[in-house]
Amino acid sequence: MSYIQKYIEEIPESRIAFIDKRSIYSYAKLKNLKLQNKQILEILVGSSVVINGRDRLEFAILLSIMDGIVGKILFLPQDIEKSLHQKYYTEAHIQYEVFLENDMLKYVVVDKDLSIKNKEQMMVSTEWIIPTSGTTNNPKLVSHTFESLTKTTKLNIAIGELYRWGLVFDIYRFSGIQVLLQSILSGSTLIITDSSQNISQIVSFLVENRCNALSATPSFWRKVLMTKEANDLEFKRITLGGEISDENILKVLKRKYSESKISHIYASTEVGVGFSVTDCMAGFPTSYLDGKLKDIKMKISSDGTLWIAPNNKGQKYLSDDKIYDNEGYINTGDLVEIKNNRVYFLGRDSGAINVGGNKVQPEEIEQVLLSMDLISAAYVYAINNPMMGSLVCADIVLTKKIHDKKDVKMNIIRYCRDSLENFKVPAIIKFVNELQTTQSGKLKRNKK
Amino acid sequence: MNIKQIIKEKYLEVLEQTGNELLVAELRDDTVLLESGLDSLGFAILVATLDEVLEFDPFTMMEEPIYPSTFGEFIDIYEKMNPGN
Repeated sequence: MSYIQKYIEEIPESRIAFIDKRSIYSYAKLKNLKLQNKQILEILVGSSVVINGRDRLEFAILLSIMDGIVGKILFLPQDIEKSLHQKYYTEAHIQYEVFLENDMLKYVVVDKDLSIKNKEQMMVSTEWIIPTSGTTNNPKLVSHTFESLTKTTKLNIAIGELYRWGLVFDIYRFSGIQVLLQSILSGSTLIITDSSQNISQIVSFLVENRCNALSATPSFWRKVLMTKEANDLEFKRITLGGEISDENILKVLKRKYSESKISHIYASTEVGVGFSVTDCMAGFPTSYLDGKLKDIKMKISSDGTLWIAPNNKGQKYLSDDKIYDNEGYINTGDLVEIKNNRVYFLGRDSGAINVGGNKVQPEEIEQVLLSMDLISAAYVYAINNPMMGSLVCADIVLTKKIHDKKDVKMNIIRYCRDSLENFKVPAIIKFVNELQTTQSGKLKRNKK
Repeated sequence: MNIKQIIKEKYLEVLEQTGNELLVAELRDDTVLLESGLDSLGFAILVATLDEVLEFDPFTMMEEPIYPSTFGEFIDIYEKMNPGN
């Protein structure tokens, strides 16, 4: 059985584990923290705990000292609606909420009636419960084990010393956890950025701390490239994920950081890490579909969606929903097409729009638009954008003829801004006379 | 109106559309784009809006796209890549 502390034991104590804008934690300090908090940890053995919206560094420390001791850890990012908390606590049988106060582990009881504890077993394989970045519905909880999360993490403590990973993803989500694990299990340094800072400040912080490995979405990389500070970065490793990586961004990164290894990875909370592509071209070779990969199998269904079967099936939905089909494949919901022996990603089969890594469901925006008196019909779709991958575009039919379209457009946008997050507000609005419908009278959605 | 004027006008429009405010006294060639008030989403919207008006998007036309840091660099790209030139 594996757990984080087992790896930390092997790492030279003088190495730095975490840096954020306020503090620095060495691996020695991480080891000590576990000893310091021995008594509390004993109370928590085998229990189900939640880390609820604590800051990134605190999360990293809590996970490092509790993995292998508690039975389950629920990761609750700040952006999860409060109204869902109780549902998730019940699904995961949460007993305690945990946090740190001056490096001391503290807990509050969430449910005192739950006494399903496994006190005898001192070291357990902790279940990590991660919410999906849900688009259509509320995020689902997916349970992973240390094995399912680390199957593709390349670990080498000697080489790990050379890497200083920047963390720009949310640490509560699958992508951020991958970066944390990659760094800590090899004894590298994790530079934790503050998401409330602007891009220049974030890049400056990475430069100051000599970050040389970074995993981010293509949209984030484009932002990085727009800063002057980007010229001062020197990379050994560049990873792209969370969005479709196009040829252009790969090319630009390759030119600017020619010393760096560059890969784009396919991963999702459900699948885990699928595979990585290192040839600096968009998509992936069709040979990946022929069983060339060690850890997964892939197939393309007749409707063009990609299905992935991980060999290690450690992950499952916490609810009763089935994650696998009868042959052990997971539907990724990503549409693909094959061109010249290469598989390219087209977008989501749900029609979800990916705006710089944030997923948007067109129907949600259509509902908001239709709630305005002056709009009689609305159709929301994605347009390609060289900066954000996609932007939200809306075709709108108005209830009556108007003259000042600019004014109406601003009104619509202001209205949307009041009830939608920024990236969901239509970027481009087009006024049309009618919308196309299918024979059954449904809105015709053009899938790319 | 020349391209520079159109870009300035659309810039201010998108600024309003995204609920942002100009953080500098005026838009100058050396104004750092991401510090001028427009965030990266607003910036993407500006590129899409200009595509509507000018009917070209230099960033998708470039062999290897350049990501501009300043307002001047941004305008330069549009002037250089203008198919009407």
